[in-house]
Amino acid sequence: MYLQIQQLTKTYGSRTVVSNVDLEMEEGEILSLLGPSGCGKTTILRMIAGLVSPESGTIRVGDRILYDGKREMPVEERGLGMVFQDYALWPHMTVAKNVAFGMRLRRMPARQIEARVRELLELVNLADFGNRYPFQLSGGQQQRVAVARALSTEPRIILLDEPLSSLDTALREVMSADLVRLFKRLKVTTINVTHDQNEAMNMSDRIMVLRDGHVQQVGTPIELYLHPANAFVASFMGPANMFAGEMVPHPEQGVVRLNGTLQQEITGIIHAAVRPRLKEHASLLCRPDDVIVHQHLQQDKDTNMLVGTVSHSSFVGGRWRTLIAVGHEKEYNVLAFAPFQLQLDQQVWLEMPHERCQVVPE
Amino acid sequence: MVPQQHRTITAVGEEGNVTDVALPSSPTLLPTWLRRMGQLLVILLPVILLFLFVLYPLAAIMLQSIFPNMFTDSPSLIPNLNAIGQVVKNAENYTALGNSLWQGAITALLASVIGTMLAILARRTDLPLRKAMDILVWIVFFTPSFLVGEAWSLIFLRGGIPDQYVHFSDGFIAWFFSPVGVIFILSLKSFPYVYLSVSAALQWLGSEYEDAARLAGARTGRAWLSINAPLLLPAILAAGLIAFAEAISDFGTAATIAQSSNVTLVTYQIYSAINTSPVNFSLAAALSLFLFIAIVLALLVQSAMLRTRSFQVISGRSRPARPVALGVWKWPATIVCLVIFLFALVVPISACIVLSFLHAFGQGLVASNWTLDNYTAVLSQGSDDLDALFRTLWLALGTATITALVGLPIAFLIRRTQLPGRRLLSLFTLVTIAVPGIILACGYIFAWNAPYLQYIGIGGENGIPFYGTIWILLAAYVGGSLPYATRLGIGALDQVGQNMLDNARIQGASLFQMLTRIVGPLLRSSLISVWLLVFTGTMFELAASELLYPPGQPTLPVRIIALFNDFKLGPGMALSILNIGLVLMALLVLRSIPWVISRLSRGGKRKRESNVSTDSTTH
Repeated sequence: MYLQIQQLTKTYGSRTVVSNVDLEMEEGEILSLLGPSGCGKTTILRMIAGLVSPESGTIRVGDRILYDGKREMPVEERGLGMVFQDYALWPHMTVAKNVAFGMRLRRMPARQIEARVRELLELVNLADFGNRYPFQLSGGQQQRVAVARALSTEPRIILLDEPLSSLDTALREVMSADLVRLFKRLKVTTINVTHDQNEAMNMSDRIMVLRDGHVQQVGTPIELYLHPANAFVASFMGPANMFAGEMVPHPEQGVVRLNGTLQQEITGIIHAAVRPRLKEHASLLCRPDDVIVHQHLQQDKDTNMLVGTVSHSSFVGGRWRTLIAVGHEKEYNVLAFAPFQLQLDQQVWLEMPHERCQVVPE
Repeated sequence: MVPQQHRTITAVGEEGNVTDVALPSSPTLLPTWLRRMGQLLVILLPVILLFLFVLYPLAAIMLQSIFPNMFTDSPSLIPNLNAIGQVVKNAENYTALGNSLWQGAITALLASVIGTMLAILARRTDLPLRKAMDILVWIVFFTPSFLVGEAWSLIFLRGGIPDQYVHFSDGFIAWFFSPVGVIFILSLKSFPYVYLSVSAALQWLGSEYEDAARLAGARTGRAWLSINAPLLLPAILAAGLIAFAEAISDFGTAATIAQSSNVTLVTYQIYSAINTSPVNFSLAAALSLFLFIAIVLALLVQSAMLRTRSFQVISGRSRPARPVALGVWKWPATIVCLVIFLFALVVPISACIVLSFLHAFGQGLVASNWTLDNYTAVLSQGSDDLDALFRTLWLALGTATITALVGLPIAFLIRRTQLPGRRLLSLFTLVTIAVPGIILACGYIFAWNAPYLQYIGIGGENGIPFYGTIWILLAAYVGGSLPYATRLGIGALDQVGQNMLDNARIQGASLFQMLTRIVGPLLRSSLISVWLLVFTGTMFELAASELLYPPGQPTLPVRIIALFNDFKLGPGMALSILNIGLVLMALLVLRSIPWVISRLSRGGKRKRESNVSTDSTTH
């Protein structure tokens, strides 16, 4: 293992913001820390960088110990690269000077620095911008300078603190693809902090989902999407219909009796990984793409069938994004995509095949 | 987007049938002409005040120095450069000006070093004292320079109390009572300006630039040197220029320790040109003009400094910086800070307190010398001192209230309206912000004692008396504090979103309603701060008071200086301590008012919430 984090914990007063986080990364891997704001993802990143002191735990890179509860290696000796959220480009230095700063500190020969700055600026497609000041650049250009600066000292680990969040959507797509290509080519280990599930899936080999300082699940984007460890991960990884209820004993399948007025039993599969952690209360997950909308009752089908009324329908290109209120007091709002337009308050039947539903812990 | 009601009323109003209009049920809608008048008043009155009591007197100085006979009984507009020549040729005059400039420059340098050091220690290190630093600096800021100057003169006075025990060498006394002592006092009085600006700059700077440097491999020292220092430099230089402007316009130091040291500063030279016979008005005007130009230049460079590129790109978003551990430097740094506040605050104020309880300081600190007589004498019924105290108190209350109420509309005009001339108004408040009281008062003598005012019924045999009454003092106080009250108002207004105002406008609020219902409440705490600042400044105002107080009606600081000059130190100090006590009381009361209001309104809200919840349970 290249990067190894064990039992990392940070508290501010009585508030624990990061709780016993474990993480192992291979060299060259790209991992995203994903979660809502306040989940502790930035604090973890800043503890790795050395900008925040952990409460306890260990951080190791290769055979070097960055933190082990007793010793804390100063930021400037860790040899990491970091791209800040607002880029933090030094406003009083040109682009070239920004990129050269770290190399000057290492007393590299001037000619070598010059060559390397040119090389790095070419790498991020800013070859002609060396003499500009940061305020003369667009947001996307500033971001690329920040990347070049982070790479200038040839760090083996790059930390990204939501660097894409201040770019517009279109630019974000392009930049994330560019960054992945760049980091993969340089085989640099990358940790990316984000609250954007799409960005995390776009960029990462693996994703760590966090909530209130606790790790919820670590895995590849596919694993997280297909086999979420709990309801939080399921709803964070893309659109999800979650039905909260109570488990009904069944030898093979997962059966959940819905809460509220409905009390209907719906059936799904249980993945081996979550089975041991299932308790009395659980949720049944069905992705909107897996819900089939019928305008008439379907008889004699061995499937989950819910009845509801249309509360909203909008055309999203090729199909209608439809919200269906289910339950006597409309306890559930189910999202589905219908191939046809539906009237408001029209009664519809929702088919959710057993094999497309899965039971996850709360 | 204007509501229909308004339009109908306006239409009727234009026809002139105002009296016949049956007002809609809403009681807030006044007749149009009344509303128009109100709006006009809100806009015009503050601007008129600004022109009459700031612009006109300043213009009078410039005119007086070039047209020396303009304000005489037979006004003439024949230009004459004699006065300006007097400044350039007469050694006494150009030495005074030169003294102010070079001693002000050294003061600015020292104040920049002290202020910057304290700001960095307070904001970015683990210094033990750092939490108390802000409040200490504010107290230094509020302490009048004439008191600090007088206290230090008395401390090192030959035969003074410390001298009776230590016996200072002649060399030391000669060394202190020289420009050294003047610069010492001025620096102790000026560093708060630098401290406050650099603290604010550190806040904006945040820690990301520094963090980025450390990740690139820079140690703390290197990160400060290569990144933070160049980014803070414009703020430090700008603050240094303000310290310079404040130092050269200070009168309290010039009238106390500089006099004891035989150092004449330009502010005192202006005062003597008017107050010692033969009275030389044109010289006072010419000196004022030179001083004014120096201050304006300093301020213009200062505001250009703050607009420099590197300073502007600093974003407001940043997380709290990680404090630098001082390590072995912790105690030396603490001691340096303690010494600064000891010199600026503790020693001079203690000296004042001790002296206020002594019969005669020549007798030293023996039991028989302690007394309360100074206080009983000052506070006895009908004493001149008590009169002066009440006079200054109501003047300060009036000035603070008027300035706070008038400054906000001007700030609003400058920042939030499209009125033509608002940029000029803004520039004007910026330039006049540091006009020293002595210059303004000098201008008042020319502007408001001019014979031609008789023709419009002011002054003279039959006119309304204005010059030589207490009212001109009130006007001078308001005029002196209006520019900075306006600038503070602008700063506060910038924090109120334009959307809130636009929305109020769309819903039909008039300018007056907008100011009273939206801007006022939002800026409540800024208004209180402005009020306190002006109140405190007026309670300790010496320069304008010296030149403009009506005969036989001295203000408190004038009275205190008179007592000092008569060597009645005990009563003088007792009066000073009472003055400080009054200001402290105002600070405590007004600072607790917002707290009381929030307590009360929170209590009210809770009561309302409980009503709601009982309502909903009954349903």
